[in-house]
Amino acid sequence: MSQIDEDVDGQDSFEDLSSESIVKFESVAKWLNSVGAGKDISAMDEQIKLIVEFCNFVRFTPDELILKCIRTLKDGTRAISTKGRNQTEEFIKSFVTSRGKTGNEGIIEENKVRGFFVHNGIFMQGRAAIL
Amino acid sequence: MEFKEAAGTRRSIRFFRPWQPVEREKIQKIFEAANRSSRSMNADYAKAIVVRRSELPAETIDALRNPTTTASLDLAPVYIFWYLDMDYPNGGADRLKELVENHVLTPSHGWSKAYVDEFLWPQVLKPIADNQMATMFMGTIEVGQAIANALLAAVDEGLGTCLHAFTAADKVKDMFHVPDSWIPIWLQLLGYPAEEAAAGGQRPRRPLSANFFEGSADKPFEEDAEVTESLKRDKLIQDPGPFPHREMEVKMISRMFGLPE
Ligand SMILES: Cc1cc2nc3c(=O)[nH]c(=O)nc-3n(C[C@H](O)[C@H](O)[C@H](O)COP(=O)(O)O)c2cc1C
Repeated sequence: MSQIDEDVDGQDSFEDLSSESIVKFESVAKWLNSVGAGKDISAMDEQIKLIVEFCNFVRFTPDELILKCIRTLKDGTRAISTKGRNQTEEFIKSFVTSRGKTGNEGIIEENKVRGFFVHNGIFMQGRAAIL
Repeated sequence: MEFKEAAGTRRSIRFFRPWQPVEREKIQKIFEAANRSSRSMNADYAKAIVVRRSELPAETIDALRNPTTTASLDLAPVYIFWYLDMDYPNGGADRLKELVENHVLTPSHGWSKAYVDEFLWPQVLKPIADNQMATMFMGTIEVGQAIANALLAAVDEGLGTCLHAFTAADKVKDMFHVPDSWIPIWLQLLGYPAEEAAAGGQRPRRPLSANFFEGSADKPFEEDAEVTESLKRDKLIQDPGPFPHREMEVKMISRMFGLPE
């Protein structure tokens, strides 16, 4: 269960997701299509499971997580929210730490989670796993 | 490498081999190429500090991270911090007179030491030096020219290179004793490419006719097909990307470094 109890809408009413329920979210479909797995998602089983666990950890749906990284400007255009993206980075780090992953193993897992955000247009870059 | 091939082969490389150091002699060649860039007033606009990643404390590398640069910072073994020295106008009159003495700036084209001392400096150059906006505008173009030479020299040496946003300038300033007059411009990352040097093929560019004109801005420059063919043979124009195997190449390299796919 989540160790992140700060803020925000929806967290209280959050219901744990599963690999079946998560694929119904728009942001998940967008991610899978962009990776090229839109038709055959079986190759993505492991990554989908990871995002399910991430969502259940932070207690936000995938669509809510993407929305947190976006802000709407006065003229109606959308921009990446630095605050939201920084918070996402914190979420990713706490999630990976909570799974006991450190060093390169941690970097690799963090980047697997980042992939979901990246394919939804949220520009972010993680460290590379080098010796 | 011939000039045309170096210009045609240059492209931004973002995957480096972190395990392969860059020879110091190659850095010298890159700096020499930058030092040879054309420049007004024969001034020293560009300053650069080369640093090896292995010598940097982890906190400094962390401070340099930003959303567009993080992964490459871990992969590139060499960082070159490029600056503009806003003090460049100082000594301008002396340097110009040196060019007059060396018969570079000659009476045939109106030049004399008296012109430099009595008119050019007080009426043209000093007002520019006193105007920060003008100094900066001129200076950034000049540093760009030096960097362009440095990028090509890196390619000529078989290296990969890419310019990046230069953040955490304050930290870098303290660490490397950077003078107050230097303004950060770009961070150049350098190393042997982990991707093939062609990096998936030449980048898409608009045809010459979109950007170049002949006689008038509404008369696009028309290419001579034979010249275009000769430039292909000389490798200024190369096979366009993406190569069919590029997607897989990026996937495999990303996996090697644990980056998002
Ligand atoms: C002045 C300048 C700044 C750049 N800044 C970045 C950067 O911060 N991050 C990055 O990944 N690429 C950066 N680039 C690389 C460009 O994105 C690159 O030029 C673009 O991909 C076009 O391809 P090419 O350089 O391979 O021809 C920069 C390039 C230039 C000339």
